[in-house]
Amino acid sequence: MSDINLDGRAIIVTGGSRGMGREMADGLLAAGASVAVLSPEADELEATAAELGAAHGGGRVIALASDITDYDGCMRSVAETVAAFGGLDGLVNHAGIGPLQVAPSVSECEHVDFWVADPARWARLIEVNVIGTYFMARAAAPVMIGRGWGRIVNVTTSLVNYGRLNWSPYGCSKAGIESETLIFAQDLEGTGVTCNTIIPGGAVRTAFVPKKMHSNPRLLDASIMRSPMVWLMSDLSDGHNGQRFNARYWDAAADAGEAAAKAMTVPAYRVPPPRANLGEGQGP
Amino acid sequence: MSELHLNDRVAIVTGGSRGMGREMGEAIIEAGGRAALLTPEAEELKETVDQIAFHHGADKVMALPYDILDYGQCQRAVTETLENFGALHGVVNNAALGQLNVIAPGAEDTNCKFFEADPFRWAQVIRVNVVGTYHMCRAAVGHLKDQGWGRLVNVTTSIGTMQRGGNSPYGPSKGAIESETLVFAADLAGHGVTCNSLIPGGAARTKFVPEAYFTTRQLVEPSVMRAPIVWLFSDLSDDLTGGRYVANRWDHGADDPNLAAEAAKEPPVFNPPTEGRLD
Repeated sequence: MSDINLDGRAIIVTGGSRGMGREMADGLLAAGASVAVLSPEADELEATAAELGAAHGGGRVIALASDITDYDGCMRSVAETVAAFGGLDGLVNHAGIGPLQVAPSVSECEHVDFWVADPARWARLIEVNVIGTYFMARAAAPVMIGRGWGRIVNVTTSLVNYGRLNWSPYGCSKAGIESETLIFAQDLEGTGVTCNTIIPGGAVRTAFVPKKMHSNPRLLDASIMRSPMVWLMSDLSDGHNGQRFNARYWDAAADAGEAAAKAMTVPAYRVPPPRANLGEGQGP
Repeated sequence: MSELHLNDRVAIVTGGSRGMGREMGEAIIEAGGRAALLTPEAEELKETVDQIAFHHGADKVMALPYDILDYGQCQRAVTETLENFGALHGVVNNAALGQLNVIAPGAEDTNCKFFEADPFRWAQVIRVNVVGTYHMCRAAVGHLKDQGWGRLVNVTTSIGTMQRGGNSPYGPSKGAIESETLVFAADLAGHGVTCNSLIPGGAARTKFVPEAYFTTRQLVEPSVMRAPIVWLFSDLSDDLTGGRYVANRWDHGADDPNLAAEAAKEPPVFNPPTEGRLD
């Protein structure tokens, strides 16, 4: 992927202070982009931004200490990015609360039956994942539409998790985001801005997974997100809109177009039946 | 469906004061059950409950003037239903905010581009629909599991609404609820409590759509929900869980309601991964 050049491109990566978010930020910086890493965890964020700045040049990294459930904060983050880098070309909607964070006690890190989950934490996950993703897209889209080019990439999860034992509300939140991707993509048609989904394709060695499992060789490495994200943020992905890519199947040895074709998945939702029937599919 | 008798079974129907919710509440009562109608719109609720009580008896219906966004109020709704009726057999999660909450007043259709929507109104639709549905399931499920029999029915929408431009936030909210149905059904396996989705099969003639639609579009009558909801609250649907039923495909002439249900059933809204892949 070293041949893809993102020089001059400005990209926000939410949840950018660690895990897959940090890897994507690092990958985009390595390809020449300027990156605003966003997270409400200010200390970790500052440390990450400083390290990324030291590695790639401080002028290309800013830290946005903000919570995506605060819409004014999202607006401010977009404005700060534009002020720092002279524009905004991409948004990686990666920040989210993980599947192990709804047990009644913070120390219990496990998947639970929906009636065991703490209702306030269950609701908070929906707020962050479904609404936070929308808030960032809502705040960023007008700037990119005004520039006639842009990318929104939503990070979701494997299809099996949308109907999986004990996977509420995480699976449900990501199912909602899959629908956001498909709908936002069509809302954006003709603007030069696209909206796509990327998944890692399995459990990843990040804070989403209990530390004691990190030695499991079956876990994916967060770095698998780098190459597909660089491609998604480049001109090479022009015309790809409302699609879904699986980083697990990205072939680093192939050229980017071929790698993308291999990584592309079925849509998250079944194709609707024809609209000819009585009222069928005409929602709401 | 007249042969189905619900034997005093009790259902909480959210959004029960009008439209499809009211139809489902009345259908359950007419089939021999009882209904606790829930909505924060207290005035309309009182009117509806008074009318139903007049026709069917005051012991068949009750009002729950509560907001599903508040988990404490959901718990109170369950407690009051149990105190008043001495029983609870399930929840019909019908209450929802729709596109009317985000489009401009008087707009010709319900399409809304996400980047033009009022973010705070957009967010509220997700909260009420996704979290509210969960709150009611969460508040009721303890009692249902304890008695070893229960029904959670989530009303969602046509699959196209979850993927066509202009349909956010309603489409994403219902996509998330489809996932709730599947996950809750899996969580409840072996407890005697089922969780299914029920959809009208098209835009229904209710206050959920702009009034102009009543004359300009072919709409589904809210009464299509009656037969399927009675079947879902009967013993005939025992063990049938994680399904998605399309009400306007229900064959009222079928001798066996289970055959009508089978014919009205759709596969899950989510694609399975391609064979051999972890998508």
